[in-house]
Amino acid sequence: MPERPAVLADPGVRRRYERRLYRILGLYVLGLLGFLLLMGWAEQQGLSRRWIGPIFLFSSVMVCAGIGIYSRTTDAEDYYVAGRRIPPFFNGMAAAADWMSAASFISLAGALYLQGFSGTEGQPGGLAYVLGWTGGFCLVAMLIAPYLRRMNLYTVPDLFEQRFGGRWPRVIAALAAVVCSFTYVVAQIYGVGLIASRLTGVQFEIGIMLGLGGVLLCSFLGGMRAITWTQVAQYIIMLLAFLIPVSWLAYKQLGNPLAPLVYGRQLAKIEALEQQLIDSPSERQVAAEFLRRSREYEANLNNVPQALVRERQAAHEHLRELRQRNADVASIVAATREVASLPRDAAAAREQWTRAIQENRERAAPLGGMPRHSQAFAGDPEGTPAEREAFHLSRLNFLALMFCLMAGTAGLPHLLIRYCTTPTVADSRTSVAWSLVFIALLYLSAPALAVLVKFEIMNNLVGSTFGALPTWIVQWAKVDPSLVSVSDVNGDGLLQFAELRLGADIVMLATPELGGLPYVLSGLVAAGGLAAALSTADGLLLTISNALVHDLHLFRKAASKVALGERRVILSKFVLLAVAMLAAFIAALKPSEILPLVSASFSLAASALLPAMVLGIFWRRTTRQAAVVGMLTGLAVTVYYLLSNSALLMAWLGFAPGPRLWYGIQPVSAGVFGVPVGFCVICLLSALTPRRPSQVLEVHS
Amino acid sequence: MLLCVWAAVSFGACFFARDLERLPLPGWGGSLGYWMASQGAVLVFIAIVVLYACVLNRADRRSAQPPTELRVGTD
Repeated sequence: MPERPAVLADPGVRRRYERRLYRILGLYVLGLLGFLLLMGWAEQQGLSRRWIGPIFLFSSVMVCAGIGIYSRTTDAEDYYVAGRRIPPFFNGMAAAADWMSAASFISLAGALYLQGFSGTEGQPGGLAYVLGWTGGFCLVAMLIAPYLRRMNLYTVPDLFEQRFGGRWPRVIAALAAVVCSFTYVVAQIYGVGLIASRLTGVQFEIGIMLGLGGVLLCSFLGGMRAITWTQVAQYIIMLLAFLIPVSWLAYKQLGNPLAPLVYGRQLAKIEALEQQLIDSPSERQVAAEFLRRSREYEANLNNVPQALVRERQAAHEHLRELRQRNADVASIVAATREVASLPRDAAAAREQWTRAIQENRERAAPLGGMPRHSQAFAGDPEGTPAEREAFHLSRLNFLALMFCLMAGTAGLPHLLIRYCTTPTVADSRTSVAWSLVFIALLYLSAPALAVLVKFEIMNNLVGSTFGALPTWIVQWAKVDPSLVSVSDVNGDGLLQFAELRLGADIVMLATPELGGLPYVLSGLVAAGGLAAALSTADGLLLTISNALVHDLHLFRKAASKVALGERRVILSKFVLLAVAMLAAFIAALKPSEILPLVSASFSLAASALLPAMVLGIFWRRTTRQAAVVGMLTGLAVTVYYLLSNSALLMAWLGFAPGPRLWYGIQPVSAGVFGVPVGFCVICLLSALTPRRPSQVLEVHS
Repeated sequence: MLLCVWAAVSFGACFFARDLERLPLPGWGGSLGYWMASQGAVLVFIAIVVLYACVLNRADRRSAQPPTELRVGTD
C-alpha cells in the first residue's frame, strides 16, 4: 500500500498544510455569512420569495458539485480513503455531517416536540435519539476506530478478511453493509425530495432528481476525497442553519441567545401550560369529538361491507348535491378527492378504519396524545397495575432503543470508514472526539428548539382565531397534509392545542416562520436540511458501491491486491451511479414509514457487524467459523424479529394479525436481541472450534 | 473503566430518570432527570472520548513508536 502519510510525517509540512486548510475554511465561513447577508438585503429590497428558495437550493448543490469537480480523482487511495491525509479537526467535521442525516436535522427536533422525554410505550423515542446517537461514539472511539485505522483498510469489510481470512466473513460483512446502508440512503433521498419540492415548488420526483445530481457530481468524480470536503462545507451550512433560528427564538423568548443554557426555564412554564390545557374545557370538547369519531369508526368495523356501501353513497350524494347547486370549484374538487380516497374493498376499509380509530383515540387523549414534555416515561411507578406496566414497558423500550442506536452507531460502515482517512492512529482518536463535539453542538440545541417551539405554540398560537392563523400553516398543509393539519373540530372558531396536528418533519422546517424570522432563514434551514440529507447520502452511496465492487468483486479476482487501481475505481463509480438511481426510484415510490426504516438499518448494522468486529479486535481466540455463524445468527434474529412484527408481511403470509413481541420490546429495537445473540454465538463457537494460528492478528500495539 | 462511566451515565441515569426528576437543578430551571438525559449525558460522553484520546495518544508518543508504522501482523 502506498504510504502517503509519509509526506505529512514531517511536522513542518503538516503544519503548513493544516494552516492552509484553516484559511480556506475561514474564507468559506465568511463567504457563507456574506451570502446570507446579501440575500437578507435582497429580500428587504423586494426579492420575491419564489426566487429565494431556488437560489438556496441551486447554490448549495453547486457548492457540492464545485468541490466534486475540483477534487476529481481516479487514484484508489484518494477515492477510497481520501489519501489518508485529512487532519482530525476536518475529519471530525466531515464525520459529523456524514452522521447527521435528514433524520437528525429535520426530524429530531420534531420528534422531541412530539414525544417529549421518552415517547409512549408503543413508540419509544424522544431523548433516546439524542443519547443513542451521541453515546455510540464512545463505543466507536474506544472499541473500533483506532484499530480500524491501524489496519490500513479501504472498506470496513476489509477488516473481516484481514482478521479472519477466507472469503465468507468479508462477503457477509459486505452484504450486511449494503443492506443497512441502502435502507438508510432511501430515507435520505426521500428527505432531499421533500425539501427540494418545498423550496422550488417542483414535483417531488423532480426534486429528488435535482438533489441527486449534486450528490452524484460530487461522489462520482472525487470519491472519498471530494466527499470529505463537501461534507465539511455542508456541516458549516447545517450548523448555521440550526443555530441561527434556535438562538433567535431563545433571544426572543428569554433574552439570551444561548439556547441550551437557558431553556430550562421554559420547561417549568410548559409544565404549567400543559396542566392548563389538560384542564381547559374547550380542549375537552375537542377530545370528546375525537372520541365520538373513533366510536363511529368502531361501529363501521362491526359490519364492514355494509358500512362501506353507506359511506360511498354518502360521498357520492354529497358530490352530486354540490354539483347541483353549482358550488365553487374548490369544494367540488375536495369532494371528488374524498370519493377517490374511499377504500376500494372491505380489507382496505378495515385497515384504514382501524388506523383511523387508533389515530382518533390518540388525539382524544389529553394534549392530543402527546406525553407531558419533561416527564420521563409513561405511566406511573406507584399507580395502578396498568400504570405500573406502562411505566415499565416505556422505560424498557427507551433503554432498548438507546442501546440499538448506540450499537448501530458503532456498526454503520459509512461512519467507521471516515476514521480511516486520518494521517495517523492518534489522529483517528482525536478525530472521533472532534466529531462528537461537532455533533453535540447540534444535539444539545435540538431539545432546546423543541421546548422553545412548544412554548411558542402553546403560549401564542393556541387560542388564536382560525381566520388569523399564520400563513406557514396553510402553505405547508398544501405541500402535504400529513405534515400540518388544522381543523376546527369543536366549531368554536378558536384554535385548540389538540386541533393542530404537526408532523415530526415540519417542526424544524417551520421554525423560522413560526418565530417570525425573515424568509431568508427559512431558505437557510431548508438548505441545511438538504445539506444534511446530501452529505449522508454521499457517504452511504460510496460505502454501498465500494462494498459491491471492492469487496464482492475481490473474491472473483482471487486474493491479489494488485488489481487495486484505476479500473476498479471506474467500476466503483458506475456501480455508484446505478445504486443512486435505484435508491431514487424506491424513494420516489414514497415508502410510507421512514423513521422505522432508519432505526431498522441501525439494528441490522449493530447485530450483523458489531459482535464480530469487537470480538475480532479484542479476543485473539475468535475464529473464522465462529464469526461467520455469529454474524449470520445475529442478523437472522434481528431480521426475523423485524419481519414477524411487520403487519403487512404477516397479513400477506396469512398469519393472524397482531404483534408478536418478546418482553414487550417494540420492533424498532430488534437489535437488542440480535447483538447479544451474535456475541454469545461467536464466543461459544470460538471456544469449540480449533484455533488456527495463522489467523491470529496482532491488532494491539 | 471509561466504558463503565459510559454505561452508568447512559443506562443508569435513564433507568432512574423518574427518580432524578424530583431533584431540581439550580440555575437551569428544569429537573435533574431531564437535564441529565438532554445535556449532561452528552457532555459526559464528550469528556470520555476526549480523555480517552488524550491518554492513549500520550501513551503512544511515550512508547516512541510512530503509530503509523505499526502494521497488522499478517497480510
